[in-house]
Amino acid sequence: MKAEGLSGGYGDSRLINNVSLTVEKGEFLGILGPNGSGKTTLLHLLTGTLPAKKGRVYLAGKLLADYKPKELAQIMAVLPQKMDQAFTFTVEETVAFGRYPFQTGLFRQQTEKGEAIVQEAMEQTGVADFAQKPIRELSGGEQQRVYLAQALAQQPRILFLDEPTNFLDLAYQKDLLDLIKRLTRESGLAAVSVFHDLNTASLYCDGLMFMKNGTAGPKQKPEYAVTEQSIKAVYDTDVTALVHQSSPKPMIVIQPEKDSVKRQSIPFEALLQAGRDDILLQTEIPLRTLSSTPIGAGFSWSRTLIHKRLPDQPDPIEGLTACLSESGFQLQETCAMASSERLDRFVYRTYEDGELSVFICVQTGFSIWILINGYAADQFFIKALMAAEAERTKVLGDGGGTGDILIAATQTQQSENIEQRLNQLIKKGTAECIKEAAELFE
Amino acid sequence: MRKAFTRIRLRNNRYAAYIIGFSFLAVSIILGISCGSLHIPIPAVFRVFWHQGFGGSIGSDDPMYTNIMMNIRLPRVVLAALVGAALSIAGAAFQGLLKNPLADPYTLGVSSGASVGAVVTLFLGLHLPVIGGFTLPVLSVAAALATMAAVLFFSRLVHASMSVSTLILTGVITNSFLGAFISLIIALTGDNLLPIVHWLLGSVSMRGWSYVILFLPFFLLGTILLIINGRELNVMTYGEDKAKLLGVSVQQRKMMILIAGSLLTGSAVAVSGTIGFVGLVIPHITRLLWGTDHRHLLPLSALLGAGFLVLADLLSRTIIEPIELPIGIITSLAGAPVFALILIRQHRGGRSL
Repeated sequence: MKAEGLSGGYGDSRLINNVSLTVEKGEFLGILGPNGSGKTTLLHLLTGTLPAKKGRVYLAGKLLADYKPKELAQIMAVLPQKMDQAFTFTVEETVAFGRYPFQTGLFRQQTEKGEAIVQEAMEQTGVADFAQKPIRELSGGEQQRVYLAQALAQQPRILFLDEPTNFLDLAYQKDLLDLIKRLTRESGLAAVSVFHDLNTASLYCDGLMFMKNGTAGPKQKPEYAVTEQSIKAVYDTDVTALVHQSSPKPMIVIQPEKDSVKRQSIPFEALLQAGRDDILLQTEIPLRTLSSTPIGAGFSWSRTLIHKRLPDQPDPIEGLTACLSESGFQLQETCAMASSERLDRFVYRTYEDGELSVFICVQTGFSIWILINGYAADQFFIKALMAAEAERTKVLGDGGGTGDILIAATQTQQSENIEQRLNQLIKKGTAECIKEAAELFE
Repeated sequence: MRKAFTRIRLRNNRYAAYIIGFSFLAVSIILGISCGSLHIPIPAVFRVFWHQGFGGSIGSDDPMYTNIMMNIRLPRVVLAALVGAALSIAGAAFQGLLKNPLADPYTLGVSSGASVGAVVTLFLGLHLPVIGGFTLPVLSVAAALATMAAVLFFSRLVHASMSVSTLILTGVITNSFLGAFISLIIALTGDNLLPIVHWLLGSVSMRGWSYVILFLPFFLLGTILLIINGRELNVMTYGEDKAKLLGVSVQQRKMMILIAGSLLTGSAVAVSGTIGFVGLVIPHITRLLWGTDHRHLLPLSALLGAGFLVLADLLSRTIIEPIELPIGIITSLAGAPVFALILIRQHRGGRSL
């Protein structure tokens, strides 16, 4: 499908201005943009529901306007955002309307093949189970799937969707998009969909196009299209880009407004509780942590930091998990490490530089906790981890300390350019504490 | 296995629907013939049919039965059946086309047009040469067609694509305009009010076979046009945009359905006056019983509507003998409560129609 210089709108208005795009066979294109940017109107222009004031649309090499409705319906299907219906049909009847353009003759009986296609479409969308139910008795999500089945029964070569996942819960969103994606891959269906949800679009689409005020940006791969800057430019709002754990597609989350109450810094020293068998620190606000501990490893948010004395276990993670659950800790909010030796000997100290403060605690096995009152970006966590490890090796020599390292920060926003100063504090503090601990343990 | 079973059951259900529809009509017709100021026993009704149809012996029955049956009762019953069928099928089609469960054959103002034609004829005492006694129905059909053309022209003027909402609005405007016109004529009529009022309330009495024959071509043409558009009507209940995307040539089909429905309505009004509520209520009942699929809804509505109007006519002439009530009173008395019920159910959003 190819559109050239498309302009148009309702009545005399011109909501869409000079939009051009192409969609290849097997491509899944997502159209994104803020409310009122003309996404749905563009879809109406592309499907011919709204005649274009300027520009043309080609489908399979032929001008859209030259198609007869029936011919067009044989290669193009549309799933609108919402279907309003004055009367109710059964699910099967509704899906069978998708075969309308293929029926010829005065009485137009449904052929065997047509019935098979209807059945298949109902099974693909999971609506076959309520084939005889009136469609009004179904939930919004089920209805949406019925209309998708209707569109699939048309066996189109190009499918237009307007926010297809609007009424669907997560599982069905995934099923519906997986199905469309599979069809694009396997049978070369081209799909053009308006999306509200950036992340869904980014995960499923081959190309994304942003609309703003009736004009369209270039078609881009999601990897290039979804960046903090581009989203900020299109939607005019603060967002944060994240990385998906198992897919290279970028994710975007909105940035909620922070409450304006200035947070007090946390007195880590006072919160430290040391017993014979554990060292525990619990805070009211969650801390952003990076650690190599068995529980809460990698980046996470924790309100409980704990070092537990446990006899050697066959499976250290399982043993620790069992032990902590028994004591009633929320594992999602806990960073925990374990060692088999006594824990009542440890060194801790707080280093301050202006409004910054870093609390460092070195424990049995030369495990290190570094707790920062301040904001640290992801890359700074890594730097701090490397710095701590380097200082430990410098003092103890290779293989001197094997304990886990935990870096935590309160993430309260503070003045700029604190990294340098923080790094200094961490280096100095770690070195001092390790030295002291080495003397203490001997 | 189960799927095949439900399909077979559905198909049987459909056969059952037609059997019920036909039986209802047949029973109504026989009752309609049999009952009246002179009771004709049902076996005699069959014997007369046998005699007229196949030249069998008429037996010992009074030839008066034959006379009353063939010249008075039967044309009346047949006309009632045809009018009922025409109004119901047109109602079902208009409801589907206009996506409005409250639409009926009168929505588009066509029947008001026919009424104006008839009322003017009565008021002026027109008697055209050649057609003579047919002056009233002929002028009335002509007025109906002219009104339909005006409504279509006007709504096209408002919006080139003749959207459904424009059509309904245009119909409402036309209805109230022509209604005022009728009131004006009634106000001017003075003493000789009865024929106009009686005609306005609708009746199928004393029309004879000639009216049946006058009505039949319009009826057949309209009915056939609508029934072959059943599938399109199904798809058009989703709205014109979606119907177009599913491959319906919307403008063409819409025109066809509008013209067919107007032919049916206009000619029905011309031969029997305005008979309210049949075209609204019967399609709803049919839909409740057997679903919305217009390929079956249209013929089934016609069958039920025919039977219903025959019974309504029977009531109107027997309920307080020897006075004959206008049939429109009966249908409205039965129809208005049903209409109210439909309205309530729709707005409560409960089990829908």
